[in-house]
Amino acid sequence: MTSPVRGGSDAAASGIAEPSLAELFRQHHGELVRLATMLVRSRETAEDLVQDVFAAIQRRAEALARPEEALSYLRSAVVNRCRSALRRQAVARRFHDLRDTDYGLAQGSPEAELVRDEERRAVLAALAALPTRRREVLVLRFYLGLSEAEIARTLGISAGTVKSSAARGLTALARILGEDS
Amino acid sequence: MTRTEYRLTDALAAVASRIPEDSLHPLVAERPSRASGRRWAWHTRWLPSALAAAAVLLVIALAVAIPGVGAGRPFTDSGTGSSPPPFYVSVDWNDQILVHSTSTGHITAITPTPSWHDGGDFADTAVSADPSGRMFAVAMNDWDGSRTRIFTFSLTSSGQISGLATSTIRVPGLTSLSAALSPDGNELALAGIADTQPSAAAGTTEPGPPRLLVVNLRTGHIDTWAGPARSGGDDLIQDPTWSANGRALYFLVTHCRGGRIDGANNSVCPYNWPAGQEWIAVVPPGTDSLTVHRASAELPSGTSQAVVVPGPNLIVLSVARSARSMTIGEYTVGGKMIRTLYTGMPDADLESAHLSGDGSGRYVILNEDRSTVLGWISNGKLRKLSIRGPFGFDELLSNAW
Repeated sequence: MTSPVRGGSDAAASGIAEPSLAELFRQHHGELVRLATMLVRSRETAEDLVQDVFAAIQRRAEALARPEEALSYLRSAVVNRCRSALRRQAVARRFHDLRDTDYGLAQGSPEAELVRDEERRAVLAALAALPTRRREVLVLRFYLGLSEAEIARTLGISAGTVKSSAARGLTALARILGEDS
Repeated sequence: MTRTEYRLTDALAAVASRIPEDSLHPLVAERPSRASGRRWAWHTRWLPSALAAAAVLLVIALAVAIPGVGAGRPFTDSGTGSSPPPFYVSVDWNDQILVHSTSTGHITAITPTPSWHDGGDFADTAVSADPSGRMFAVAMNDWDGSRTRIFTFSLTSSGQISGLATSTIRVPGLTSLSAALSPDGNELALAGIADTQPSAAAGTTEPGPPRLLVVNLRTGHIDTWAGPARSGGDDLIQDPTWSANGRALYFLVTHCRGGRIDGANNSVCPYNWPAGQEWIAVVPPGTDSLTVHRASAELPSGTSQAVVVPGPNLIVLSVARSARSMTIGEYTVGGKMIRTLYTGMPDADLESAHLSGDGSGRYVILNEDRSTVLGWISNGKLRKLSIRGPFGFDELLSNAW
């Protein structure tokens, strides 16, 4: 069951069929699961959250009035669900557990990669220790490569806040990783 | 690109590479069964019926003994109100206080909470209004400080926020927060799960035991109740509601018996607690301790929330095991059902459903499925509100009229 994206757009005006929100969702399924995994640090939870967003969007086609913002909406919805999971389950408060999460790193890695995976784990543990908003900004910027304006739209904050959150987040990461000297 | 930026990009790319497209579970059109994620333990009543009867008698005794409890304000239009308060206050995902016009749905004011610009990151939040609907209190658990911060403000007649102030009272950190501002606006009742710090050196916190706090906003004095003394499960305290005279508090205690810890170190019934009872705390003036009694025998299985309305009766949000649909019913405080007010969509996701009331207790708001259904209960129907958060942030975390 899919729900067409509503509202006028250039594509609609030109007669080009717009992808439904559900189709767009499927196209970006992998990206959204990866994004969620980086935020909640559990792939299983991430897949559940993304599935929940998909189910919610099916029930709620009217949620999107502007097709050009569909992908941004999906990312926002996934980020929201991640926050919800972290808050409701208090998972986010257990930093010591989070630092043990390896995201599947080192599974089947050749020996030469193991050292590198250890370094990556240190980076991910430092990322997990950041406040939620800073972590989200850094993941959206350094995984998805979004611009400040795109991140602002996704998180519902100003571009200035994106800039300051990214700067503070990177400073904190560098300090935790011992790179600030 | 700095070394830190390079390392971060590399680490995130490595995580992404571990999740190839062909390893993803397919999206399914039907909403998946929640059973796997919500294996709360359904069980039969665990209290002897004699104790249940005694509890009901206790309620009657308390209603007689405590002025303002049981008598309350005249209240005849529970679920029948036709003219709700003009403004609806909520806190969104970005820790901003939003004020919506009830009639138009337009935002009349939006203000970041005072700590927001500091990069503060709040783990949980609750909003409460006084009976006049003009004075509000917002409680937020501060991620970094492991404390609950309190902000107060009032609303102008045009829906603007006025006098936003940060309390200097140091309140312990609580998650699963709910709050109630006393009728005179001087005390704030907070319920939730206390933060604990098993390792102060590591700066980490973990969810601890349940807590009911009564914070005197004028003197800073805090009364604390640590929940019922029992073993073999976890308790959650929530939904405090003041009696009309402000000397007693009703609240819900839900019990997860036989809960287990899953791989993520969470209780398997973190939110949809299987059994609940209404309790009463007598709040003495001054610094005397709270006196707490259990009031109801047992509320229906699957009770998620119970909001006291003047009378007093309870508005209970629960999910039936067989139908897997959400029901809102009116109950006596003793636990006897009076009527069904609303039945939600099938396979309701109680984790994202939230009941709240206005300061007078006359209007009960349902925020179902992350604002998909948002409205107040009236004559057995849900009157929808045209309220949405900013784009992409349509789940309003906490709300009050």
